Amino acid sequence: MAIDVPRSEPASPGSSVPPRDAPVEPFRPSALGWGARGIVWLALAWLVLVFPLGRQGFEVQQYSEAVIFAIIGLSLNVLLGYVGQISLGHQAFVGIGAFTAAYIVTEQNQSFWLGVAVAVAIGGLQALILGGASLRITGLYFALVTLSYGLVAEKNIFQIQDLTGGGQGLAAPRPEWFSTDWSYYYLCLAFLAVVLWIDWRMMRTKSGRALLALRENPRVAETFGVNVRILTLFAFVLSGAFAGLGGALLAFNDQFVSPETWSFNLALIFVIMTVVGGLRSRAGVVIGSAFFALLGYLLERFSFLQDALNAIPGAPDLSKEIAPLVIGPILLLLTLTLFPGGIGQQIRPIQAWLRGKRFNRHDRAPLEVQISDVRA
Amino acid sequence: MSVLETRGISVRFGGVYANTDVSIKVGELEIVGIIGPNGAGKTTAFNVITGFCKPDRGRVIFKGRDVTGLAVHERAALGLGRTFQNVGLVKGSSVRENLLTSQYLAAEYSTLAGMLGAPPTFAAERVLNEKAEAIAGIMGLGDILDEYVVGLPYGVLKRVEIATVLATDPEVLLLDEPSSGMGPEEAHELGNTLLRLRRDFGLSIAMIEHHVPLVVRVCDYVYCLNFGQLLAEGLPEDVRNHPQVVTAYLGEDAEDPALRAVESTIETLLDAD
Amino acid sequence: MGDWVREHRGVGIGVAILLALVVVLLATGQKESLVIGVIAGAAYGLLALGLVLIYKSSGVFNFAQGEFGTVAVYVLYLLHFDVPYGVAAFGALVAAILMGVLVERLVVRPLFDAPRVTLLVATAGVALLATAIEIWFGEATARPLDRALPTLNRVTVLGVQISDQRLLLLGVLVVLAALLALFFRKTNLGLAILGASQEPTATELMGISVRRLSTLVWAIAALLGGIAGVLAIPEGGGFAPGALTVAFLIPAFTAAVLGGMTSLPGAFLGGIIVGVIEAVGTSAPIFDGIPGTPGTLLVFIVLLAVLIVRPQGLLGERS
Repeated sequence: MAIDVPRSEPASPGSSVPPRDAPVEPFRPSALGWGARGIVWLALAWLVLVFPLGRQGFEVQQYSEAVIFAIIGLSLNVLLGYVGQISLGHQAFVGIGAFTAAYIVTEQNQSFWLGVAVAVAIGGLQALILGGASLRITGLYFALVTLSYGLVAEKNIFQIQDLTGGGQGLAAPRPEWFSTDWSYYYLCLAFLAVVLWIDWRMMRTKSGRALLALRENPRVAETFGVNVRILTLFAFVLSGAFAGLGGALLAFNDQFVSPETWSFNLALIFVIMTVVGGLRSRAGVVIGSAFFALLGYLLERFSFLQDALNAIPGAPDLSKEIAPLVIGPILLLLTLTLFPGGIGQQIRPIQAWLRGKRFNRHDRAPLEVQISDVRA
Repeated sequence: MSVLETRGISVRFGGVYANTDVSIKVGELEIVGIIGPNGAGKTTAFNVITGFCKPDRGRVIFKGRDVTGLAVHERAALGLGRTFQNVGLVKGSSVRENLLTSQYLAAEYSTLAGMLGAPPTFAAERVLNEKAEAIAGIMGLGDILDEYVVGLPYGVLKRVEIATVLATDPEVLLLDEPSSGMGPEEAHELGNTLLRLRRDFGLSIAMIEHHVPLVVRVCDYVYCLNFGQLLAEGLPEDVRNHPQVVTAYLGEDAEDPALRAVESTIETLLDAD
Repeated sequence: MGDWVREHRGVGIGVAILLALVVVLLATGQKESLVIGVIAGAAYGLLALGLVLIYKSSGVFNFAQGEFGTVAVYVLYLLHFDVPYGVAAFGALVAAILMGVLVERLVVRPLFDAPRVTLLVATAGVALLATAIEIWFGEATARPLDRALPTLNRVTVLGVQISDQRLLLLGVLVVLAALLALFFRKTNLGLAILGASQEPTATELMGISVRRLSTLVWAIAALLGGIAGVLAIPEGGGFAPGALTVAFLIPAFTAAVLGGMTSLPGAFLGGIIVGVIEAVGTSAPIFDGIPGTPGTLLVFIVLLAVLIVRPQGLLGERS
């Protein structure tokens, strides 16, 4: 007896949008689903807000540094991810912010808040100048310019006696209300929240969209009425402002600023943490930056990790200063070759799940933004 | 009264004379076709009109105003819209986001307000979204508003691009080969769409095209370019049968009967509507 | 005659600049600075040759170029206690070549088709990794290293005594620059490399393995970097991790840009000019007011000036 096999509808002729079924009901998690998500949210909140409270001072300083690195990562992400320009001299922006803030407070006897404000302004200003240069110099050569600029900062600008204590460094005492380590930590968290808010709102409004269009297709952006030059400069300024903020916060975290910190190695760490974090993914960049900031510290704390690394035959101890420098490039190369979207790409399914969607392991952004999309 | 006009545009790239003394007029509510073999300088002319290319000689007059010195985004603000040969869209974004992005000039809040999340921003964004949805509906894209551009079929991309340009509120639309990649049915649909858009939005259109039946059906006036120069202009039928135009496309003596036979066969095949 | 002048205008400008600087230094009695500048320039030029070589053949800005040299120096140091200096130097160069081949296999090959910017970042990562490994295994201290040529014959040039090692460096640079330039213009292999960089598919279709060429190019570039390290570092007093990158890479890049990223003779000329400019910066009294090392600032200005005024450099092709 013949069995009737149901046939599918033949596709309609002509290329058009494939016929759709009746609109699918949006996925809603069950009560258990909501519960699970809620627990994860609470755990995350606890980790960020409560966990540092009970810790010793020095450890909390590390966490503050992680938060500040996240700010720096987000600032570099504006340049790398939104505008599409490479900066190998970002440590100069951050360092100048640090010295500016310290100078304002120590040498000019002004308040912490003024120091931060001026650092942000100066950061934006030098980024504006560099941005102006970027309009005339294409991507790869621009990278060289930023590299050279970073060296000038280290060897010339940070040696200016009056501004930087000439190689001795400057002191940077904490403000009155935030002098304890954990109170400073919350201050940094607050600043990070502000940076995240601004970044988020910008990308959801006209300038953010224009930036994305500009990065991918500047000619098309122009036909939408976007002044490409001005928008590029604006993004540079924003990046520089965030970097200046990061520098200022770093200064007061360590309560001291010295020229040696701002080396080419640091510039590369910044680039690596942003790329490994995942361009255009705020969460990824935050996680990547925090990871690199805490790497040395984590190795010390959890000595079994260090023991594992030391098990490599013939190798001397991998101290915490060197660890990021060794692990960083390896992760970078893995990201560039195998996982272009970085951490951001990997956590995308988790992010979607936390927002109440179904967990889909294969959830991907349409075009993973890669470092390769930088205009050259 | 022409709404868009080029007067004696000449452009030279090194040794190549891309455009020589090209004068084109688009009247109000006219649909003007620009045809010619590949490399004739049609896209160059568009680039000059929109501002991507500075002419060595000549002027561009838009709505009675000399815009030759204005930048691309300034001309866009005046109401000049254009599509591109290889589909000018933000491929990494969704259809909706493209429609929102192109409304850059219409957004009623400052960049700063947008960044800070001031309350008026949200209301303004809602307005932009409504307009995006409306235009998507008109172009039959309502179903795919939230699909990413990168995955869409080529023919659909062309429609999305037109929708996106429409969202910029243009008065004159410059279309660069809008029917490329389309089969005869889709091209016919496109023709209907263009006529409809002209009627409903009060648009004037200039389009570079290779699809002869579409041009004949839809255009009020046609210009033919070859080697950067105006070869012929006039009503579509006249230009199509102009001997020099035929020669330009086929490169042979147009009177050759064998060639005429081939040509008419091709025309019959293309003339599916 | 007019055509020849026009075509070689870049060389003319370069030589004119160089002569002007030389005159300035001599006139102000800074003979020693001049000589030091030229020798340093030779090292920059050697590195620049490697940079241009890689850029010419694959469009990559190789940030690890300096580290080929630093690794060579480390190996030289480790070996020279137990074996004759010459053998140690040879071993150092072999190590550099090995590193070049390793980088090409592990980093450049997988990213062969990736945009050049990705490779820029990747090679920067390699440079960082190399430096980190040097610190890890070699500690962060600076070490002294004896000069290569044990004979202390000091030659007198312009009344300044310089060791023959430094002259050797300069001589090696000149010879290598000339050889490489000839190689690319006259030999089949050189032409193949150029062809591969511009039209990889066509080259493959002609039966030439583009991948094997790539390995060769990186090996040569690594060798150049190794030679720079082995000749320039000893006698400088000492070396520390990342030595050639920290002190030499940016001037080398500036030299390459100045000469034109596609010109090997340009790299040589650019190197000397940058070296002399640095010497002017260090010695000329008007720069005394500049905090820190004036040379760094001057090199930066040169880079900016070239990129804004004449992006193709002195001898490069206009893109």
